Amino acid sequence: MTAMSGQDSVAAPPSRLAAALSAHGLAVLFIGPAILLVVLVSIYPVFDAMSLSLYATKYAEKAGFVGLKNYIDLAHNPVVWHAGVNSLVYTIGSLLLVLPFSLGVALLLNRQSKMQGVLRTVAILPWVVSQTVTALLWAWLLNADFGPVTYGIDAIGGVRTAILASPTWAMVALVGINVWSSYPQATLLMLAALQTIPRDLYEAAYIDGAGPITSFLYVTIPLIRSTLLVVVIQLTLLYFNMVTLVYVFTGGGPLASTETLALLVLKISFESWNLGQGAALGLIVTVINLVFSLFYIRTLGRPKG
Amino acid sequence: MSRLIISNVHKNFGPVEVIRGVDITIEDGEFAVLVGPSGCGKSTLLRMIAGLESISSGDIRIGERRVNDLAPKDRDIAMVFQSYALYPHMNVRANMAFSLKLKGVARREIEQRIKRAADVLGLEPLLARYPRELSGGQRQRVAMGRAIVRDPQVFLFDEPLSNLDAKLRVAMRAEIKMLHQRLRTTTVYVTHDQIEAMTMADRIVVMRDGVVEQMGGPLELYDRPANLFVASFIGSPSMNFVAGRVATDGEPRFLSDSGLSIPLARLPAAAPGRKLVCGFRPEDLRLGEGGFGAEVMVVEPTGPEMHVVVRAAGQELTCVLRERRNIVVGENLPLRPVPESIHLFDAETGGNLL
Amino acid sequence: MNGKAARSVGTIFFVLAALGVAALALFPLLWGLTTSLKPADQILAYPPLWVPNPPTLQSFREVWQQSNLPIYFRNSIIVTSASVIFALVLSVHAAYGLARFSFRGKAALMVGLLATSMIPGVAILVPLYNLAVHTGLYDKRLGMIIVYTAWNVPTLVWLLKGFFESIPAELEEAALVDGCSRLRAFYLIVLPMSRPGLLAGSIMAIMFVWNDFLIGFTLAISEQRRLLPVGLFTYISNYGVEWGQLMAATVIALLPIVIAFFLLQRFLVQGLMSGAVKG
Ligand SMILES: Nc1ncnc2c1ncn2[C@@H]1O[C@H](COP(=O)(O)OP(=O)(O)OP(=O)(O)O)[C@@H](O)[C@H]1O
Ligand SMILES: [Mg+2]
Repeated sequence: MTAMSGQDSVAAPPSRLAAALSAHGLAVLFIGPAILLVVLVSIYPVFDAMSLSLYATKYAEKAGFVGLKNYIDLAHNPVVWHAGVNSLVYTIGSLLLVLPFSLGVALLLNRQSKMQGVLRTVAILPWVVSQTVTALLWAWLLNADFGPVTYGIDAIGGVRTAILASPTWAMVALVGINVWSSYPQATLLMLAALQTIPRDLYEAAYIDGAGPITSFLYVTIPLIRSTLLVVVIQLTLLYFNMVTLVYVFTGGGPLASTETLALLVLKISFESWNLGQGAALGLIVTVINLVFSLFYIRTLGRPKG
Repeated sequence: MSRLIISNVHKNFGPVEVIRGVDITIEDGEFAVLVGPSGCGKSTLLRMIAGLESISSGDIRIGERRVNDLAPKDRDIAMVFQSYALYPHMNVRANMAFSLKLKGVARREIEQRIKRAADVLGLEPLLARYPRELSGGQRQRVAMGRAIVRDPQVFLFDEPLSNLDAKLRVAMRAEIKMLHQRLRTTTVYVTHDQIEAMTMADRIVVMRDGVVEQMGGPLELYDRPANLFVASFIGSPSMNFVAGRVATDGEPRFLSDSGLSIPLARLPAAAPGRKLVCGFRPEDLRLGEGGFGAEVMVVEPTGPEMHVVVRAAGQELTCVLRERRNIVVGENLPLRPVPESIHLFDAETGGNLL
Repeated sequence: MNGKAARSVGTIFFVLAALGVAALALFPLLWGLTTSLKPADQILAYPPLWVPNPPTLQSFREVWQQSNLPIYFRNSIIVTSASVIFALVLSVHAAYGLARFSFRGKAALMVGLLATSMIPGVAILVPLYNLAVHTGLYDKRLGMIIVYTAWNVPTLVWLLKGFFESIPAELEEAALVDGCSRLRAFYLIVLPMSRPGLLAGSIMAIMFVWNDFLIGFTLAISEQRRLLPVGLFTYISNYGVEWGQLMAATVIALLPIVIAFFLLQRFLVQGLMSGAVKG
C-alpha cells in the first residue's frame, strides 16, 4: 500500500550480523579481563596446588614426584589430628557463643529507640578492626602483668592468672576474641532479616494471644531461618579458615593448644618450608570447606513445612 | 519532510512472530495513534521505529532515510516512555539539556531551547528540581520537555499517560494535543485506551496480534469499522452484537437466532444465506415501534444521557438514551435500531458487508 | 504485672543491654587509645591506670619517627588504593556485561565466580607464592596489588550486577534515543545512578585490603615492601613489646579505616546485606 521513495542513507549501514557481533564483542571486552584475572589468581593456583601436593619440594622448586606421600604423611602425623580437633573446638565453640549473642544484639538494634543510630555504629565497630589489630589489642588487655582484664579477674577472684600461658584458657580467650571480632557481621545480616518482618505480623500474633517469647519463637525465628543458615555457613567457613587472628594472638601456642588446621597450613608452608605438604593440607582444608557447605545446605536448607 | 513509512515490517522474538507484516504511512505532521489490546505488538512496533528493537524484515523510513540499521541516536527521534525514564541523578534542566549536549549544541542555544520548551510546558519553576521532587504530572511534563527541546523529526510516545490519575489524564491529553497543533511534528502515540485514541488522533491504527486491522480517521473508524474486531474495540460503551441471518423473503430485515427482528435500510448482495452478526451502537438503539420489546435490567444516568441495559429475547443489549424520561427497572421498552446505522458482519471472516 | 510496669522493666533491660554491648565493643579500643596516650611510666602499672595523666603524644612521635611505620603506612595506602581502583574498574564492566547481555553459560559463570570467592585464601598461598617468585612479582607491591584486585572481583561483580539490574532498562533506552552510544549510556547514566553500590563495594574492598595480613605476609619480605598489618605483627618481635608504641601504631592503622567507616557506614551495611543474597 505504501509507495517507496527516497534512497537508502548514504553511509553504508552495518549489517545486522556486524551489529550482533559488536554487542557480543562489547560483552567479551567487558567481562573478559575480570574473568581472566580471577582464573589466573584464584583458579589456576588451585590446580597448581593439586600438582604441587604430589611433589616433594625444596624451597619453591619441585624436587621429584612422590604421588600421595604428602597426604599419607599428613594422615600419619598426630600434629595434624590434634590441629583438626583444635579447629573443631574453635569453630564449634565460637558458633555456639556467637549465634545467640549476635541475635541478641540484632534484636536490641531492631528496637525503636532514639539511640538506635549511635548504638548500631558502636555495636558494629569491631567489624572494622582488622584481625591483626584485634589480636594485638586483646593480647595487651589480657597481658599477665599489666592487662586490665587480668586485673579484673584478680580484683574479683583474687587470682592473678597468665591467661595466654594456659592451654585451656588460651583457647577460651581465642574463642572469645573471635566472637568479639566476628559478631557484627552476623548481627547486621540478622538485623536486615528482622527488618523485613512486617509489624502487622507481631500485632496479629499479639491479638492471637502470643506473648513476646511465643511470638519470637513462632514468628521471628521461622521468618529469619534462611538468613540464619547463611550466617551459620559464612561464619563456619570464616572460623575454620581463620589464620591471622590465631597466628597473631597465640601463634598456635601454648603447647600447640590453639594450633588449627588452617594455621598449620601456613606453618608447614612458610615456617617448615615444606610447600608440597602445605599445598596438600591446604587442599584438604578446601575439601572440608566444601563438605561443610553442602552439609549445611542439605540439613538446614530444607524448605519449611 | 518527515513522513514515516513502515513497509512490510516483521519482528520475531526467537520462534515467535509478534509483528506480522505491517504497512503504515504517517504523513508529515500527522498525529497517529496505535491502539490495540494488550500484547498486540504496539510497543514492539514503536520500539522498532525508535531503534530499540532490531527489525527482522521490512523497512522503516523517516523522511528520506531508511533507518533500519541506524542507532537510535542517529534517527532524529524523541521518545516519551511510560515510566518517563527521567535521569534521577540530573535535575530537570540537565535532563532536558542532556541530548543537546551530546549533540554538541552550543551552550547559548541549549539555554534558549530549554527556555522555550519550559515556557510552552510551564516548567520554569521546576528547572532546578530533581525528578524525585516532582509529582507524576510534572514528571510527565518534563519527559515531554525533554522530547521537544530536541526538535526531532518524529515524536514517539508509549502510553505516556497511563501512570496518571483519571482527571490529570484528561488534562494532559488536551495539552499534548495542543502541543502537537503548535509544533506540527509527526507523532506516533501508543495507547490501549480507545478514548485516548479517538480524542487525540488524526489517524488511528488499530492493531491485533501483530497485524493492522484498520487505519483511518477517528470518525471513519467509528462509523465504518472494517470488521467485527474494530467495531467492538472502538466506542464506549461498545457496540451491541446479535447473531443471526437476513430474512429469506427478500425484505431488508435481520432475524436473530434468538428471535429478534430488526429492520435494515438495505440488503447487501452477499448477505443472504450466510451466518451474520448484526451490530448497532448503543446510541443508535432508539425508543420506538417497529423493532422489539425489551425489559429494563439496569439504569445508569450519567447526566447528559442514560445508559440502559436491557434484555431482549434472552440477550443483553446496551442503549444510550438522550430522552429525559423516567425509566424504571423491570419496565418493558419498545426499541428499534436506526436502520441506516446498522452494520452487518460476516460471522466467519468478521468482515463488514455494508 | 500490668502493661505499664512490664514496659518500663523492658526499657530498663533494654538500656542495660545496650550499654553492655556498647561497653564490650568500645572497651578494647579505648584501652588501646589510652595506652597510646600515656607517658611511658604509666603504661606498665598495676593496678592499671584508666586515664593517662597527663595525656602525651610521645608514643606516637616515637613510633612515627623511629620505626618504619611510615613506610608500612605508605605501602598500605598505595596497595589498597591501587587494588581497589583496579578491582572496581574490572568489576564494574564485568558486572554490567553480566547484567545486560545474555549469552549461554552466563549462570554457570556467575556461580563459578561465587565459588572462587569461597576458596580459602590460605589454601592457595603456596601456589601464589610460587607464581610470584616465578614471575618476578615477589616482594613487589604490584604482585600484592594483582592478588588483592583478583580477590575483590567476585564479590564486587555480584554486588554491582544486582545494582545494575535494578536500574530500569528504560533509562538506558532513553539515553540511547537522546544520542548516547551503548557505552556512553553506561558511563553517563548507569554508573552515576549506581553510586551507592559503588560506594558500598569500595568500602568493603578497602576494608578487606587494608586489614588483610596473609598476602602481605607471604608475598613480601623486605621492610620497604611491608604492609601495615604485617608491620604491626613484626613490631613485637623486632622491638620487644613496647606497648605504648605498639598501641600508637595500632591507633594509626585504625584511623583511616575508622574514618572511612564513619563516612560510608550506610553503604557498607547495604553492601553486606546485598551480599547476603548470594549466601
Ligand atoms: N523481548 C521480548 N522477548 C520475547 N517476547 C517479547 C519481547 N518483548 C515483547 N514480547 C512479546 O511480544 C508481544 C507484543 O508485546 P508488546 O510489548 O509490543 O505489546 P503491547 O501491544 O505494547 O502491549 P501492552 O498494551 O500490554 O503494552 C507480546 O506477546 C510480548 O509477550
Ligand atoms: Mg506496551
